[in-house]
Amino acid sequence: MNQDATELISRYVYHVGRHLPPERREDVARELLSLIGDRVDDELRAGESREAVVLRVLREMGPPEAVAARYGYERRLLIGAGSLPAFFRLVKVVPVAVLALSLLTLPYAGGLSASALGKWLLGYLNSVLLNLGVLVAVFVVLERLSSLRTKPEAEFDPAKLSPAPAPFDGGKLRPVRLVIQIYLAVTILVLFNFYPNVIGVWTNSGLPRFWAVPLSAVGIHVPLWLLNVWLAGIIMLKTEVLRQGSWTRETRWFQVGLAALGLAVLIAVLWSSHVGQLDAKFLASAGISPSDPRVAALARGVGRGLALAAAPLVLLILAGIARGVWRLSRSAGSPA
Amino acid sequence: MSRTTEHPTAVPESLALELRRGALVLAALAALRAEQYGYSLKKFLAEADLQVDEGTLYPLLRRLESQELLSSRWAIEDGRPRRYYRITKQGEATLAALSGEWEQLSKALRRVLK
Repeated sequence: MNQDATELISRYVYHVGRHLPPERREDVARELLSLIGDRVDDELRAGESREAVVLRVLREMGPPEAVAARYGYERRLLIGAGSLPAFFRLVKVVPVAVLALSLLTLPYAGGLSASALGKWLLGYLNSVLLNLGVLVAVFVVLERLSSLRTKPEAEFDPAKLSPAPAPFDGGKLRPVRLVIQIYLAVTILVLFNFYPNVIGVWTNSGLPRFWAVPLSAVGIHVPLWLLNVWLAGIIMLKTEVLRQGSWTRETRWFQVGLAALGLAVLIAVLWSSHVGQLDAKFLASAGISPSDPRVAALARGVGRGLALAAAPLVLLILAGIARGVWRLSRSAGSPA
Repeated sequence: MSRTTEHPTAVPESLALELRRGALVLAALAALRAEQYGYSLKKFLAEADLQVDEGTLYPLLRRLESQELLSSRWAIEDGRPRRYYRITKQGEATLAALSGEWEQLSKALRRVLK
């Protein structure tokens, strides 16, 4: 078959596959290749180019999304069929994960009385419902973002479909992990920008056990704009990978870039934090004198904790960046 | 979409499709008493004056297969892999029942349309 005609069909079949659940793609693609080939052979007339016939046939078949929809995977639901397996896996994980976290708070539930346990149980159920709601919202947003990019049928031109990405072993796609990462990034984004007061520190040095304080109170400074850029990058990247259904060379490079940006965020936090200079206003409101020895002890503890936590983290991130660059540069040399 | 069926007056495509959809199951089951691949079935139906676009026909074949009314196998013919469909025993029973329904419906509609 003519090279251009084959490429047009490949692009079309690839784009249909993007709207199908991963486990059905290969089968439907095989069938479509066969059907389109049969029809093109049948409609090819003397003097007509194969490419022109392919374009006509594909145009008549309609936009790839419409074809996928006829195979029974149309966007009838808030969450697309392609995302449903990952969604249901996460739905099963949420109650267990929330239970694990809730069990940590059980010692502070106020004893083991029936009423305290009842309150704890209600809190647990509330958290499960809240998290399931957020999960649905994340998937719905993913679905809408994906459908926004779909051109209406009237504008469909098979010649303008983007080429299927070159074969690239970008590693196994783990949708559940990607959604968890999106979820965490959204949560951190919301917490740091709108509810910084709920981020607290733990201490056992005689101060309240759970101390919900503004970050500035313990002298940790987070450059918010840099953090926001990094988190937005994570959300965009993971969303795109989920939408594409696989890792490509470009998305893997983007991930390496994000890891480097994450390192920059961490270094900026360490650089600009003033451990040991606790917020005077906060201390005054808490009725604690700045010269209280517990304040200095807490500051020292926070400083050591930061340094201890940061060192292996920096090494881990650097190792991850190096591994990513090495893999990508190695695969660039191999035939695609 | 291919809109090959001509209507004397403008019938909304969705209504025409809805009307044909039920009959199409019957036609596909009847045509697949002999094994055929997707495109040959489409042509067979077109020759019988039943125009169906592939976007409707091929997903229908899969649905009928999932309902175990059809079975399929892949075979390579003229260098091209093709999926061949054939009616199953269960499909034959359904075809017989649907044919009876069709006769009854057809008679009833003729009376109503008079």
